[in-house]
Amino acid sequence: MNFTKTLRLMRNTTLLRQPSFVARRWSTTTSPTIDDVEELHPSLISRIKQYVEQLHGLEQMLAAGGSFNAASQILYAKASSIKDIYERYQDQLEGLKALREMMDDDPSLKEDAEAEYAKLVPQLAKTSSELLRKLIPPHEFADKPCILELRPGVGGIEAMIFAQDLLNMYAGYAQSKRWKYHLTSKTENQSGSGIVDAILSIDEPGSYDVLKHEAGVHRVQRIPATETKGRTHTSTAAVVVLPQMGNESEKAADAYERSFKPDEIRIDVMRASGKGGQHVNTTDSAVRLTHFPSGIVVSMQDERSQHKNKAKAFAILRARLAERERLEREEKERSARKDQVTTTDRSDKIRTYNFPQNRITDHRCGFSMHDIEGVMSGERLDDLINAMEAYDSDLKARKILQEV
Amino acid sequence: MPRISPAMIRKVASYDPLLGLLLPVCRTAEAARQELHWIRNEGASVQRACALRARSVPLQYVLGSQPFGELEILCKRNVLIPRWETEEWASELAARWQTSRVTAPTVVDLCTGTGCVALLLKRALPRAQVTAIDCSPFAIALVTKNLHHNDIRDVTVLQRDILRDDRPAIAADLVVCNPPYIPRDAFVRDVTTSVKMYEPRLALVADKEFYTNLCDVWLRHTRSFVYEIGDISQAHFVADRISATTWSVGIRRDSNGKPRVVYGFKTDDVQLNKLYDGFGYLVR
Repeated sequence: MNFTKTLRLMRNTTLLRQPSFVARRWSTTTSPTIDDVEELHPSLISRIKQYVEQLHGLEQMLAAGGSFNAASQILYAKASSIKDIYERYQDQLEGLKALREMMDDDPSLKEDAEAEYAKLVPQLAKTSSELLRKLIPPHEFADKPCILELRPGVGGIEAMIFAQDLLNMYAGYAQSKRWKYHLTSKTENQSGSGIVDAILSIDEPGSYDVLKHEAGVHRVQRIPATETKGRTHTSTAAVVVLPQMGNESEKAADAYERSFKPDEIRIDVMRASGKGGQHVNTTDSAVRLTHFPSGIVVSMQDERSQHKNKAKAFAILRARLAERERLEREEKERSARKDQVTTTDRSDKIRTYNFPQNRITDHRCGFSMHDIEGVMSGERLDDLINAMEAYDSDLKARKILQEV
Repeated sequence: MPRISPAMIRKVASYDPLLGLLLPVCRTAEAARQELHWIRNEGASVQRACALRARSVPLQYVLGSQPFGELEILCKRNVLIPRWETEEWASELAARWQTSRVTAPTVVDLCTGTGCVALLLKRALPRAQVTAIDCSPFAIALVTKNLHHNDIRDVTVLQRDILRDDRPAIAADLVVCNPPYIPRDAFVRDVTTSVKMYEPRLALVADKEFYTNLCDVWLRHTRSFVYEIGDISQAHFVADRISATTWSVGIRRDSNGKPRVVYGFKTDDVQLNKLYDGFGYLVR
């Protein structure tokens, strides 16, 4: 099979996968025709067969009285789901071939066969795109818990209130999933409405993978509570998603602190004037870390214990460094490939929350839905996350096809 | 210290009346907000706590505890509240002994108060033999409570007035002490209101009695010592009274740049030379 035909199949698969921008772009062209049905590329098929073999090996080991460790358990789950989809794919492909023969051989059955055929083509396309998505290599932090950092952008107090709303949304989302989460730090606005910054840690392994597309600038359009003339304002808040690389315990922080050279890191504590010591009794426990090679500064003052503040600050520093390294590595790989494919990782203004229209639009994948309340409570945030995930894996699947 | 205007208090209190109570004692709106957050977190009666704070009662007495390294030290009236400066040098000292070859040193903590330094060292060095000494019955009762609260065992607690008691001193590898060090004439001038009103004078006011006691009594029974100081003159006092041939003496500053500790060790001890290398700067 040649390269253009492979691409055509992919266009077709994405055509059927709502939502995606590819779908919008191609929906006006053609409905699937007989020529569009093509098999997957042989190199992909051989990759699938490897999984099937591995599955076979695991099953034999289990039959011989062996037992799974964590790694083989994950592999088993992945391989068996790939095998299932692959079998469905083969069935549907065989069905299509049989129908085509029927159409060619027996003119009396042609009409029925064509109707059946037209029904099966989109099913096959869907199956093969599902299969492709399974073959995408997982994100390097896919199994990590995550940290969300929220900060208001433009829009003054209204932006601070919106940042608070987003914080509540993610907390509600974690709650609806029954994930453990805690507020690592939160600085409230002077007047007590809205936040200046907040860090929410979600301790569920794998939550990074779910929430990674939340990173970016979120925009809100609504009539603020502070507005007296009924005008709609536009404000923004920024979300940063980081992987949790270790926990916030003091022991982990001490070990991590020792991994730096003394001149790489500076730890500042609050300094007061006066004699200090027994003369005064201060409760200042704020800690500020400066990491010189990267220029990252982390301030933490949430806890009464300086020791705990330091541990939290080191956990944040570690997460930020890991994320930064990942982005740099990706950038390097991209320039090495001279890759022209757009990525979703750094796009600005990812989403708009329009209250007057009760609408939320994700600008990256063009997905819109109409349930502000459900999303802001976190309960229907999944719809947006799934839409973005589908869009992203379509992009990645296209990349796989281009690379084979 | 700049005066806090009634207008400022009114403004802060308009956000939350409790902040208005906390502002005069916390000095800045930001600090007041942080403190209110802590008070709410501890789950104490918030109204009562803020009312007490408005009368300058130390937060640690109101909430009943103060973090100290990884420990939570219980605090009660009549016993000095641990300071962050003490936490800083005690943590550094504990880390140094932890990495040294002496795994089971004998440690004496004089003027132990809440027992914070003794407990921190015992937690870092589980095989150390730690003795905590104080003359105040309130302190002794609180040390026992703190041992239990932090689940630490095997610390000897003695009630003894080391300035007047003539029982023999205990032989030790390390003597630590946070003695009262504020001279009588400086007490009214230099000490903040909250400390003056609510913390025990017994743990604050003394001139050089404890440094004299160190030189005359404890030096003969130990290999090294670490004493907190309030003024550099106290460090020089110790350095001048010590035999320069057998002792090395140094001063350590806190991260606020103030001289905070005078320490010393036997010059001929190779292990201790290494252990205290870089802890402060040697003056003798």
